[in-house]
Amino acid sequence: MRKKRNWSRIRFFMILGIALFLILLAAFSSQLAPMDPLETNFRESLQPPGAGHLCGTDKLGRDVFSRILCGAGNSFFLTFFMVLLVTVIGTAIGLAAGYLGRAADTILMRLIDVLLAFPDSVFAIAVAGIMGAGIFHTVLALALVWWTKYARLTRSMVANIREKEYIIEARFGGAGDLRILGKYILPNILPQIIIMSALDVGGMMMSLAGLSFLGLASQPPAPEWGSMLYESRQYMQTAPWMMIFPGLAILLTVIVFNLLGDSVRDLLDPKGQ
Amino acid sequence: MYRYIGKRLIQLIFVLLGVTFLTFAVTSAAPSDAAEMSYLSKGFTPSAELLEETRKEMGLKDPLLIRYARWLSDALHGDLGQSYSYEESVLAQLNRKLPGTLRLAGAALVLMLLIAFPLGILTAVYKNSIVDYAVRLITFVGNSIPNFWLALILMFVLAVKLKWFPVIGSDDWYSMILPMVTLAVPLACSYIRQIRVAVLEELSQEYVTGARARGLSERRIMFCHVLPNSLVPVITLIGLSIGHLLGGAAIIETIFSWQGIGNMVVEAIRNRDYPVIQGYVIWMALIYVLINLAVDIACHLMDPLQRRRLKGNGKADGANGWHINKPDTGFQKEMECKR
Repeated sequence: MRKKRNWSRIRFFMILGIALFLILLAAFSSQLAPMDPLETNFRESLQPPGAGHLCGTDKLGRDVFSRILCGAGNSFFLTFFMVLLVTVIGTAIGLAAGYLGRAADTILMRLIDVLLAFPDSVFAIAVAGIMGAGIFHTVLALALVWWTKYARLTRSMVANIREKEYIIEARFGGAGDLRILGKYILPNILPQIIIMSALDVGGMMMSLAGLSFLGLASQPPAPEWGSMLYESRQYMQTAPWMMIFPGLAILLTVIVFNLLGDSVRDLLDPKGQ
Repeated sequence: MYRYIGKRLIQLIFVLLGVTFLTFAVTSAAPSDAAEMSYLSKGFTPSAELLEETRKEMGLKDPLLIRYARWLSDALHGDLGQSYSYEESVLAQLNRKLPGTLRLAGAALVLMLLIAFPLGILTAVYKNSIVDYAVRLITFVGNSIPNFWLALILMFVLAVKLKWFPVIGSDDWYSMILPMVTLAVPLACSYIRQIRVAVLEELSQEYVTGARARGLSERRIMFCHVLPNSLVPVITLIGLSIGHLLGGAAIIETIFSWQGIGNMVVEAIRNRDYPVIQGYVIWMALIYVLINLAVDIACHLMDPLQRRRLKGNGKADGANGWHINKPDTGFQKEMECKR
């Protein structure tokens, strides 16, 4: 048993190392990129991968490798920001609903019922589509859909813990609501919430890429993996590298973050394994 | 049972009211309103006075709730408005495109189950064998593939390079294969894990040991006892995946130019055709909610334990209706399953 625990710890740090490496790459992408991702050069249009351009060039002669590297910066930042945002909002609302109970709880659960009636990405597509393309609207659209999961998880855990003896004793001991929430309830539910957010990073990244593939997230000149794939569609016959490498970048990153999510779960919740 | 269904139907009405109101509110918050869009789509820019006039005529100046009530009564009479870009009512357009999507989603669902069930059972039975590890590795990768990239790769390899399939799809079953596979494979990957977990869970129950002690054959235990019991969580997930299929179809349909409702909405988004987007969202929500209601009822019919619990307090897991959890990455579901 102990041995297994140690192994999952080693695995966690190994994957964390890879993930941190990717994050560092993304953070320093503008220094690391061999070429300017926005610089166009029509003489170098649609060059295949080779010595000059590691992943080839696109229609405007922009270096695909540099664009992937710089796209990572945007993509990572937005993904982490979104996961953090929905975690904080969802947890806060779930805490309030679970702790206050009654009217607040009922209203919240009805609201979530309504939001969950929209299938997965449909609502995000619609919101981003109606409000117009742009990062802000995409963030809004995805946040509207994703927070519900965290609110439900938190709410059900809080509702369980609220009736536990140590909470009642803490209240007899004169602890206020905020103190009970912060000191006794939150630490108890935090591991589950962290597990959920860690597992969501990969999914969030794919959702964002999907929306920008539809042209709903980022605007054309900025390098972004989803929109690069969208542009590549027209050149599938002549320049397949435009399609292959950004997709591989998404795939590998999502795999790394999914592995990280898995190992976070193994580490924090050994029972689940 | 009937009380439960009645209760759920009443809940359904409130959810639908919420769904329509939310969609309506989002549409009214759009940067350009219906008056402006209906002129722009006809190809001319209206003057400010004309716009004011039209807005008054269309009742766009009334408070949101009044407009919503008016819209709702229209919708109940089967009028979801006119498409801006086509001289066609939204309902007619939806009805024309919906069969394509349903056909695609249905076929993908069937293919997904055909892949997922045998492999899920296989990996559970041969747990920790080489087959198990290989399938788990593949499902892990399959879970991390964005479906639009998979679509592009399949199209590139099978249609462009090998020329087995037409690049531009038509409506026949042959051009349905690629979009169907693209939708089914990532979903199958997460289902294999689900089914594996569900079957393993059942295999560890005491009744299996009992059945073995009674000398029943492994095959009989698997197909007559374990499998039926592990169906309930899987069926619940299938209800949730319908939404995933219908929503995910939007991207896949555009890539393969499949004539369906998803393709329609992406085009509507490009044209800022708000009534069409609105109609799409409401239809999707309606289908999704109804299917999940049906799935829930089916699950209750199948699971005697849950039936008994229902009689006890009239509620199924918590007060919150039809969702166990939203469809998501496989790990998420695996986690939920284990709980």
